[in-house]
Amino acid sequence: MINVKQEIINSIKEITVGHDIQEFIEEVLLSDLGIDSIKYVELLVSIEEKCDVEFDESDLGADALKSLGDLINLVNKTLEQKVS
Amino acid sequence: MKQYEVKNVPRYFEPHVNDCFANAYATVLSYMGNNPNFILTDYLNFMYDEQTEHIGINFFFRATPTVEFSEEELNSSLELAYLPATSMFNKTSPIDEVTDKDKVQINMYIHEDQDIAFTRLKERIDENKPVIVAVDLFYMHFHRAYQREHGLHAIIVTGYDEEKRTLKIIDKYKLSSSDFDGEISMDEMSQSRLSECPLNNPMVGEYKREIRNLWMEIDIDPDFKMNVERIYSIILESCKRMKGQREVLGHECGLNRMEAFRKDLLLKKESFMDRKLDERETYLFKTYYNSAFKSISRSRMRFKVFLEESNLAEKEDLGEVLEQLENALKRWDICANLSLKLGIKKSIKLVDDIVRQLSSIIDIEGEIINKLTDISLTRDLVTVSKNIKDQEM
Repeated sequence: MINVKQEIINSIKEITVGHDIQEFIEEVLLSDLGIDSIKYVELLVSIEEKCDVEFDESDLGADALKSLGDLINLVNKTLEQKVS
Repeated sequence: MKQYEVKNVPRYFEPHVNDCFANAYATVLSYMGNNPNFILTDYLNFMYDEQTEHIGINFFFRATPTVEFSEEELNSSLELAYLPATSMFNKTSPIDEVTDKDKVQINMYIHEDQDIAFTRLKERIDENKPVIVAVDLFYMHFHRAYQREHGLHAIIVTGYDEEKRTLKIIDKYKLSSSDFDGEISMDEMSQSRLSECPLNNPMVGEYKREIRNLWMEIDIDPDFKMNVERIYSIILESCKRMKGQREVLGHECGLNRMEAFRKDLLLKKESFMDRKLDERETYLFKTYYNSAFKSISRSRMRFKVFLEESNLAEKEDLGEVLEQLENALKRWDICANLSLKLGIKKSIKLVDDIVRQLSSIIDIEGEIINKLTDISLTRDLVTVSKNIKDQEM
């Protein structure tokens, strides 16, 4: 069973420098972790590899996703779609 | 020792601006009481050059080793602005003079002598005219690129204090993480304005882009007016460019070029089949196309805002055009993200997804152009019949 929150934290640690994220707080904004639109796509690619999912191309834009809570909702939604 | 500050300069930023230069122009235009959403609207267009693989809107996005541009290069995009060729500042030649009173004039000056550049900057500020100045971000302490990356950037200087040796500046181009509004030292500014700006990318290799104290001055004739005819001119010229009826900077443009680009991407995919992407190809997708597609998406957003604010009589007919522009700009943005993803994963099959999006964009933008042409033709017929009636009376 994949621990989605932990995999997201691992991915964020990989792609950001100077943001030592220790715990998953849903309200934390991605922009506060130094994640811009380019890093956001890098983050999704990393999550895809770790969680064995593929995000829809329309989900690659960072505009709709503001927080870690939004991100985990997206990953869970994509995992559910994969199962169904 | 003297100090002065231009007051009430707006802290302008809109996500649809073209780049940091356009954001700085928009700031000064707003300060001067003009709507940048009209003046800085560029024609709807697309350009592609097979030889260089460059794409663009009304000029090609490409690395350039200079800050000097010809008149032709500077005037391919905007109906309502005129930019003379970049020139060496010369106090004795006519300055502050608007060549074409129907256009906003943006003069781009360079000068190797720091004192002359600073003296001119102070003169303009004393006249309550904010000055747009080019800097190298490597020397701007407030930016994340400070001491890390070189890059040409435009900021606005609104004041100076000779005793403190400081300048008041505004840099609100948030698309490149700029958000500064405060004082910097004249020394910091001097270093930044005289930087050689060394750059490097796998498409062109190492090059320098000397800034040479580049600055921009905006002047507008008091009788300058925006009117509905000028709005139609922008729409009509956009239709001609997209239909391939105009050459821009000696190149064909429009929907046919988009189709040529789409087909060439498929050919590229074939050539990638049996091997890995090299450094140049990775850069092409991960950085160049990503950034170019984002720019094109923003240009479609600009055109949408321009139409929304135009308040044309055909407002009802425009409803569908606005929806299609929204659809197109989202798809260009998806292309940008797919291109970045392709560069990161080196997954060739993503070319198919980009090509599929481009096919949809060609259809959607074709429909947009057909509808805008109809609206313009109807407008022409109404104008002609009104003129005939006026003559008969």
